[in-house]
Amino acid sequence: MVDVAEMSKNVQEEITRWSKEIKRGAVALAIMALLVRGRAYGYELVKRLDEYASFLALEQGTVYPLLRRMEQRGLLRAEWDYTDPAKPKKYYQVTDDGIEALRKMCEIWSTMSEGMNKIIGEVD
Amino acid sequence: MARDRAREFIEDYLDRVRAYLPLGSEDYIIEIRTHLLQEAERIGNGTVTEGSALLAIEHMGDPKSVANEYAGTGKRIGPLPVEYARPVAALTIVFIGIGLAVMLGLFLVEPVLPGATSVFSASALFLALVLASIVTALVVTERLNILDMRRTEAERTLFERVLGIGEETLRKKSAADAFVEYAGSLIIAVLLILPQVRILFTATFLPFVPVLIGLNLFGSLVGLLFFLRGENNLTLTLEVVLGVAWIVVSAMIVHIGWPLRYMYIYDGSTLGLFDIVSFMAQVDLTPSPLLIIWVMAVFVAVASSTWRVISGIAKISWYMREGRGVWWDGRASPQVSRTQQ
Repeated sequence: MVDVAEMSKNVQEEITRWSKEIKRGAVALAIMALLVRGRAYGYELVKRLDEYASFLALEQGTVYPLLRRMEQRGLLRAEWDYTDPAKPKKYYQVTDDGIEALRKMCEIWSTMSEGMNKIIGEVD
Repeated sequence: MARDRAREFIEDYLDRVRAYLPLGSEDYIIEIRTHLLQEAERIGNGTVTEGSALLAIEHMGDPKSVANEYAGTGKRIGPLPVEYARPVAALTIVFIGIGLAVMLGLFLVEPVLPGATSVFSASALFLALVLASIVTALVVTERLNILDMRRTEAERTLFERVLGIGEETLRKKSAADAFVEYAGSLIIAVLLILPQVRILFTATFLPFVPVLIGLNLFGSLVGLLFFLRGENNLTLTLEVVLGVAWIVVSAMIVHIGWPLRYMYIYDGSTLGLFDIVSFMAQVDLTPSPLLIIWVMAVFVAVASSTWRVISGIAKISWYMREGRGVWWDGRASPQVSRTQQ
């Protein structure tokens, strides 16, 4: 793990910026991949992400806006469950378009990580 | 007790997030509430405590950042950062709504009680100027943010308190309020049907009693719909229609003057009728105290109905822009009664 505290301010800022950018795509892929296993509501998904993708070090508040955007783009479908009126739950599941997009995203991710691993393998 | 306080922390935090969100982001707030409650339960090993609620809030992060993640940031609408657009819009609607409500109320009562306008309008104008100056100063300078720097995530900032006034005023009607409207209007309608009550009215007011019965029955139906399904475009439209109807009827009945001829008095053994109008005629006060009470009652009815109409129309337009349709379950989420912090 990179120790950010020992870096110069400039490097810290650059790493923070870069991490945010690279995580954005990874989180969307992780969310879709977890939801394709079964529908889940926000908190449940946050906990699954904590369990399976803790390396992403997600802030809890970032998951909900992503879910909303993916729902607006037709990748996810949402349904409210008012069984517990004190804690209504919005369940998300992947749509057919979402499954198709997820397959393509996985292909791109594999190709990219394979290629990137070759490149960064040469870095000290 | 601790659980109530914990819920208060969470609701307070949600109000702060809501203040920076675009209009009509209630679904997001409900999701965040459920998240915070479940996170607080997890931290408190199955129980929501004050400490676990505060920790859950800390985990979620700064309200403005949470709202910005959802709504996007960096944009400006005119001189205002986009995250302030919603609270300022809500405040503006509240000010305009109150101003219009007062003006319409005064317009209707002025012919019956000349001079009322000058007394009310001078103080209303002064109040409006003071409020507008304060809000402008706060929004433009954002000076209060400096005072808020030492506050924690769970504390509402002074800036947010001011900006939250509009939001608070346009809050969804609670189930309890809706039930009171339903039951209250129904009781009034039933009372107005009773012959023992109808004999109390003056002859000139009596023809309007069936109209009031109808309005109260309609109000009761609207209250019931709000209780069952909360705020949606149908219930809001019915409330707007009800508000307009009350304004029209008020404009007609204000000229009739004091509506009650008699009141019931108990002399220790029997219940009898006391002729208020004859009694007040003997006292001979100008203007008549009964007329002043009547005008004030009509003024309040008109002002509150106007406010209902304006806030209803504003909400309907928000929901239509969101493409929400006509009928949905728009009940306000369960909330604790809060104490001012």
